Amino acid sequence: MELGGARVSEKLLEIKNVKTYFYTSDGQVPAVDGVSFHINRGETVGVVGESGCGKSVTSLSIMGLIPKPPGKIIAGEILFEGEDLLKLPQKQMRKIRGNRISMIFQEPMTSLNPVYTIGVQIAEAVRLHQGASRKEAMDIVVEGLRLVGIPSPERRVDEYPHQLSGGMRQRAMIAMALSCKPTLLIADEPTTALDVTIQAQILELLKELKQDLGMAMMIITHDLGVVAEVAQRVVVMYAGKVVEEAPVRDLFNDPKHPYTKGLLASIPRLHVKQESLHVIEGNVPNPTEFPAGCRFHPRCEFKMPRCETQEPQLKTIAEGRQVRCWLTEMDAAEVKNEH
Amino acid sequence: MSTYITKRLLMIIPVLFTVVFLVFFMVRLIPGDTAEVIAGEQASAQEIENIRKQLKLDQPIHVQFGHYMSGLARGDLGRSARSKRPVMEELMARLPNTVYLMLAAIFIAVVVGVATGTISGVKPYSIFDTLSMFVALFGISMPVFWLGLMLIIYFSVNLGWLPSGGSGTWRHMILPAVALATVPMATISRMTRSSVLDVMRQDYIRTARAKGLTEMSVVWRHALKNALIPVLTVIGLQMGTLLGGAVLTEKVFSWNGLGRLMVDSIVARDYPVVQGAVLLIATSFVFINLIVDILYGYLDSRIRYD
Repeated sequence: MELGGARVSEKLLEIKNVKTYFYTSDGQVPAVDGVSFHINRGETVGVVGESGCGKSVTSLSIMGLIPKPPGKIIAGEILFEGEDLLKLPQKQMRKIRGNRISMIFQEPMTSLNPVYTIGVQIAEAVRLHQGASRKEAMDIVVEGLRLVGIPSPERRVDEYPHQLSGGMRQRAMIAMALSCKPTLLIADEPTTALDVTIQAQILELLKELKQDLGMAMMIITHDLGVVAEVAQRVVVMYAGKVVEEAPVRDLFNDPKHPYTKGLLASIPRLHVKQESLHVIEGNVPNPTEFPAGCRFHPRCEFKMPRCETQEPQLKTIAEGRQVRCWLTEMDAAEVKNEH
Repeated sequence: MSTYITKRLLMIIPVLFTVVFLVFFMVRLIPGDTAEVIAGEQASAQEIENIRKQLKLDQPIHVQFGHYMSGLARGDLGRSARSKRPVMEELMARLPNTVYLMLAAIFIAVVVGVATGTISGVKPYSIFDTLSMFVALFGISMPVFWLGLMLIIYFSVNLGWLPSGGSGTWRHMILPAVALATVPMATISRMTRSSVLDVMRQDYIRTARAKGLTEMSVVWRHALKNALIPVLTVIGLQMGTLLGGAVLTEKVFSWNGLGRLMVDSIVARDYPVVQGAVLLIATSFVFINLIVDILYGYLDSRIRYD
């Protein structure tokens, strides 16, 4: 299968058993605890979970932007085009950052430097990675701003972030991230801080640009609506671990993990009469004291005695589908016995 | 912008009037009789009376103030009671020395203060940070006259490297400039540290790193320009303090500047010179603040004066 000129089956990024821990005065925080998944060339993967599940730390680990101290990647491999990013010296890593892998952040309001014009800020990456002159870089910037749908870009390049609306700033951030034509774009909650109508526009824009540039995208969100809109595959994270991975259609039609089921049931539906919205009881546990056994068991509707003591492994149950749950590991008779 | 500057310039008038008013009456509260001090210990009662008349000190105080203000309106600061030369001439003869000293001190304070503050802010709680903040605390706490004396004892008396006082060459400048720079240096260093520390946590620093910039460019280009905005305020205020601090430093190092002229004039009850010197320092202070406010606009485009 061909998509945007790249073979979909070829792995662009492969994360293997990555553990990113933070060492704080409250104790050790295993923010990312043995996460593995991959992204193929030209593919969009959604990473979903509640706040504090380790989505953003995973993306910062890929970018090599974990603040050290207090953070540290203590184990694992992050293979990008076959190269382990965790073994690269800083100098090599900087050549990848903002060039072959770019990132856009959740907060367009604060992610741009207030004292430089957006033109200067975007041109900085272009000049750094492509060795363009000031003049050439500005031409590339104007073109980039036009591409992301900013009206009269020749004028906008000389404006400061505070002169732009939130949606326009996020477009400028996207232009910055795409200025060096990356093969992988990491979008960390790119629409969370925006109005609903602007959200739809930005998602549409990301989809179009991805198609045009043939890049892969990792989109981090807590909004399953966003995932349904743009992603081909979904990785569901809970408490620093991957609990389910599936093609987007399968995940929505037939979720396997109780947490995924809960997330899907929590989406309000227009045509179904509902007294109140479904909620997953409880909160994400405090990362300094994750529960023993399955980390989701205190909130799980289908909890069994074994869940409290033994941690289930991530099991492949079908082509491209993985689940971390005792329910899927046992047959019906065994489950009945457990209860 | 120009309306803003005009407005600010007009506001200077009431400020300076208040300064003149306060100083005029305050110097006259100092115990002692001007005429007696000027005439000297051997003078007769008649001689003292003559001097009193000559300086118009026999007239009621509000009349004296009226005289002074009308002179001021014509740009006349009066004459020194001691030297009989115009006050303006006296001040202008000393002003360059004080300005040199102040510029040297502020240069040292800004370069060292911003550099140490930035390193501390980028690497907080490191050995360098702990050490430099300890030294800074020391610097802030030390009275300038005491520090001046210590510098003289060590570098002039014991080591004999630098002259202990006087003015003229750059070698005379080093000790007083260092003494004068210490407090502002410490203040600027601490302010820069907390400002850099705050800026380094901002989202746009993460964006700058995500672009692939070196840590050096992240700090130099993206952090410092933001961090220096509050530091600029401190630098402006410190320059005012320096003018005041120069009074003590100049006295300690026998530096022939405005500060020493002021101290000597206070001792001699030479009112016109004291008034003139304070007025000159206050005017400089007000103008430095105006310049700092205008500079904000250049550092941060969000600051607009309408």
